[in-house]
Amino acid sequence: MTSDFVTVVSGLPRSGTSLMMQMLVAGGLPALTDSQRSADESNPRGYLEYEPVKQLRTDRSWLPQARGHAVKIIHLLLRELPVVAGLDYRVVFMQRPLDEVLASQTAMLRRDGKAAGNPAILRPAFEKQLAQVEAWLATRGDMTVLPVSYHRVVSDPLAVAGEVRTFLGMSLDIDAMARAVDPSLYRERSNEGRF
Amino acid sequence: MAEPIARKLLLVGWDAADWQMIHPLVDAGRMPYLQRLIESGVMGHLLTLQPVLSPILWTSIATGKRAYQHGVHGFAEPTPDGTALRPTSSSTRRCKALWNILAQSGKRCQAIGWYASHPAEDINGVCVSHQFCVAPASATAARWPAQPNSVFPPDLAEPLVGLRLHPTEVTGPMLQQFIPQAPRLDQRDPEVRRLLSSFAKRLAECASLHAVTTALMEEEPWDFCAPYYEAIDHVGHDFMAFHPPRMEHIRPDLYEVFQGVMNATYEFHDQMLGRLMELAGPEAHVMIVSDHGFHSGVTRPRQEVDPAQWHRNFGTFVLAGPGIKKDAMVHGATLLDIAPTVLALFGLPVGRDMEGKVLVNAFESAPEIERIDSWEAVADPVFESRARDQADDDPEAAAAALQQLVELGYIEAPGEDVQRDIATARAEQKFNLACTYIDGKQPARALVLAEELAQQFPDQVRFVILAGQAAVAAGDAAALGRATDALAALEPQHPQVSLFRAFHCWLGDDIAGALQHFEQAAAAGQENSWLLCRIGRAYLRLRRWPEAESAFRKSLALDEDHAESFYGLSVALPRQGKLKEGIENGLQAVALLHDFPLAHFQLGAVLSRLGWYDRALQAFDICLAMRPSFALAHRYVSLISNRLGQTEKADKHRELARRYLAEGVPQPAVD
Repeated sequence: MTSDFVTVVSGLPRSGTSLMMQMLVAGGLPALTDSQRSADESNPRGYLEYEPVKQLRTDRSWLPQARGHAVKIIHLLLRELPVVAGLDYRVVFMQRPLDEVLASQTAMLRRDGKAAGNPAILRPAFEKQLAQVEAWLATRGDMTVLPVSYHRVVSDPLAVAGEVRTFLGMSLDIDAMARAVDPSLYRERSNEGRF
Repeated sequence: MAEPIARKLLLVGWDAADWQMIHPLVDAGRMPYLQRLIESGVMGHLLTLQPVLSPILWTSIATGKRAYQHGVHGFAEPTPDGTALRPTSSSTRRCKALWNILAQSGKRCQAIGWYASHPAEDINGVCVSHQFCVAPASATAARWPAQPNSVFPPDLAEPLVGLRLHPTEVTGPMLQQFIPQAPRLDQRDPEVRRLLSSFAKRLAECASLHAVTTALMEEEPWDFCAPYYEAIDHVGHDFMAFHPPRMEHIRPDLYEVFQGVMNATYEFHDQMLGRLMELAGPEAHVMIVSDHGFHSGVTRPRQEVDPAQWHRNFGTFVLAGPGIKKDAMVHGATLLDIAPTVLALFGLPVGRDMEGKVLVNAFESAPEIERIDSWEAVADPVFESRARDQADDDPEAAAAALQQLVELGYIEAPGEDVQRDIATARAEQKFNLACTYIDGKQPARALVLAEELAQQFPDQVRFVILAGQAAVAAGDAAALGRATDALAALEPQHPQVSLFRAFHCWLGDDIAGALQHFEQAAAAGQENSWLLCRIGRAYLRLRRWPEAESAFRKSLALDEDHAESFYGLSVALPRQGKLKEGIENGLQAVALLHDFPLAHFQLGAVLSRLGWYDRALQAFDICLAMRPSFALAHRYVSLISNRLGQTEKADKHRELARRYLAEGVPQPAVD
C-alpha cells in the first residue's frame, strides 16, 4: 500500500495514539517505527514509536522515509513538521478527556517509578497547548486533520476504522483495524481516570 | 476627531540609513528620488535610543514606546515552553503598533517585513512577517514554500510566494550592478566567497521585500503602507569597512573591488523609492525613517567589535506631502516622535503614554493634536484576543507540561547547548532592558538588573561594566565602587577601570581627580569624542574655559554630530565673551538633541545676557517643560519677567524656585 503523504497520528500522550497506530498497522498501513520502546504494562501491545521523532526540532532528515507510512508524533512536536513542497500530511488527532489523560500519565509514571506533575498545573497548560495546536493546524495548508474520539474507538471501532479509511483514501482492512481494539484494556485502565 | 492631514501615508523604513552617506550622493545627483522628497518636504536627524539594536528600535518606531513598555528586548527569545529559541515574536509585543491603531480606526494598513512581526498579525489590510522573505537553509529556489503564518490574510501567501528571489537566483550580472569588478575576484579566496555569498543573500531578501511591497501597493487597497528595508544595515556590516577612504587594515585588492558597494546600495534604495513614490501617487504623504546611522568615515571601528558599535546615534527623517513644509529642516526629532507624528497626520489622538512628540515644525500650519490616555485602553477585540493568548502563556505551567512529556519519554529534554543558548538569550534580554532603563532615565531600575546579571555571570566583563554605567547614571557611588572593584579584579588593565575611577571622583565632587583619570584614559589611547567631551565637562566645572573649549572642539572634529560637545561650547564660549558664538553652538546642541534641559537653560541664560528676553523666555519654557523643578531656571524666568513688567509671572516663578529649593528637590549641576 503506497501513498504520497505522511500519515501522522498525534495527540496528547495517553490519548490513544498507540491504539490508533495499532489499528493502522492492522489495517495494512506500514508504521515508521524502530521498536526501540518495547511493550510494557502501560502499553501491552507496544508503542509503535520512532525514536528520531523526539529530535524533530533538530533533525528532520528521516522525514522522506515517512512518506507512505504512519508515524506517531505528539501534539507538541507537530509544529516542527516542515513545509516541504510536494509533501502533505494527514493527521489523525486523538482526543480523550483531559482528566483521563492526566490520570493515565500519572499511573504510567508511577509504574516507572517517576514523579508526575501536579494535575492542577498541567491541566491548563495542556488545554492551552491543544487549543494552540488546533488553531495552528487550521493555518497549515499542507495538513488535513481528522479528530478521533478515543471513547468512540473503544465503543465503536468499526465505524471509526471506516472514517479513518475514508480520510486516508486507502484500501485499509477495517475489520482488522476494529479487531485491533481490545476494549478490555480500556476497561482495566478506566479506573486510572480518577485522582 | 481632528481633521486628517494625510489620506495616504507611505512610511518607508531604511535600516541604518545615514545622512553622512546620503548627502554626498544627493549632491552628486545620484539619489534623485530622495532629493525630490527632500526638496518638497522636511528632513532632519532622528536620534536613536539605547541599546542600538534593530528589533527594539523598530518596535519603538512602530509603537512610540520604549522597550520596557513594548516588551521586545532583543533579536531572539525562548519559546514559551522553554525548549528552543526563536526570533522575537509579534505576540511578545505588549502594546499596539501603528498598524493596529490605524486598522482599528478604519484605515487599511500594509505592514511588510518589520522585526518582531511573526506570526503575521490580523489587521484591516495585509501583514507580511519578517520571516517571509528570508529563505531558510532547507529551502531551494524551486522549493521554498511560505512559512506558516507569515502572511495575513493567509490566502495572499500563495500569490506572493512566487515574487521572492532566492539567493541562488542572484546572477553575476545582478552582482555586477553593485560590484562591477566582481569577475576579477578569485572565488577560491574564502573571504571573497563569504562576502559575495552574503551580498547575494541580502540582495535577494531586499529585492523580495520590494517585489512583495510593490505588488501589494498595486493590488490591495491601502491608506497606510509601511515596508521595512534592512539591506543598508546588513550590507554595511559586511562592506562599510571597504568604503573610501581605505582603512589601513583593509586589503588593497579587496578595497579596489568593493569600495563602491555602499554607494551602489544607497542608489539601489533610491531607485526602489522612486517606484514606491510612483505607486503611492502625488497626493500621498511619504515618510522615510532610519533607526540609527552607520559609521562611514574616520569614526569607523578599526578592529573586530560588537556589530552595534558600527551604529551611529543619528538616523534619518524625511517627510513630504500636502501640508508639509517645503525644503525645511526638522530639529530635535527622536525615534519616539514617529508614531505620534503619524497619528497626527491621520488626525488621530496621540496617547499620553507615548513619550515622543508630534513633529509640529514639519507642518505648514500647526496640526490640531488630540490626546487620549492610551490607545491600549481603546477597545479592539482583535488585538485583545491576541493579548489574552499571550497572558495565558504561564512559563511555569508550560515548563511543568514539558517536564511531564520528557518524563513520559515522548520528547527529548532540551540539550545542554540549547539550555545554554536560552540562558544567554535571557541574559541578553535583561542586558538590553537595563540599557533601555538607563536611556529612559530610570537608572535605579537598570542598576538592579545589571547587578543581577553581574552576580549571575561573574566572569562576564560586559555585565560588570553595565552595572558600573548604571551606577554612574544613578549617581550611586557605592554601587560604582563595587563594579569598579569587580572589573579591576577581572581585568585590571581594562580601560573602563580608569573611567569608573574618574566617575567615582566626579560623584564625590572631586572634579580635578576625575579630570586626571579621564586624561589618563585618553593618553592610554582611548581618545574619542565621548571621552574628549568628558574632559571638556571637567574643565567647565573647574572654570578653565579655554581648555574646555579646546576639548569640545577636538570632540567635534571626531564626531560632527556630538550634541553634548556643542552644549559644552555654548557654555565655554560666552564665558570668554563670545556670546553669539555660544548661542549658535547651543542651538546646534538642541537641534541634535532636543531633550536636553541644560542646553535649553544655557541658551536662555546667554540670550538673557544679550537682552533678548523673549527668546530667552522661550528657551527657559522648553527647559522647564522638560525639568519642571529646575529652581535656577524659575529664578531666571522670574528676573526676566520682572524686567518685562510681568510681575504676576515673576512672583509665581520666584515662589516655585523657593519652594523646590526648600523641599530639597535634587537640582541639576549647572556648568
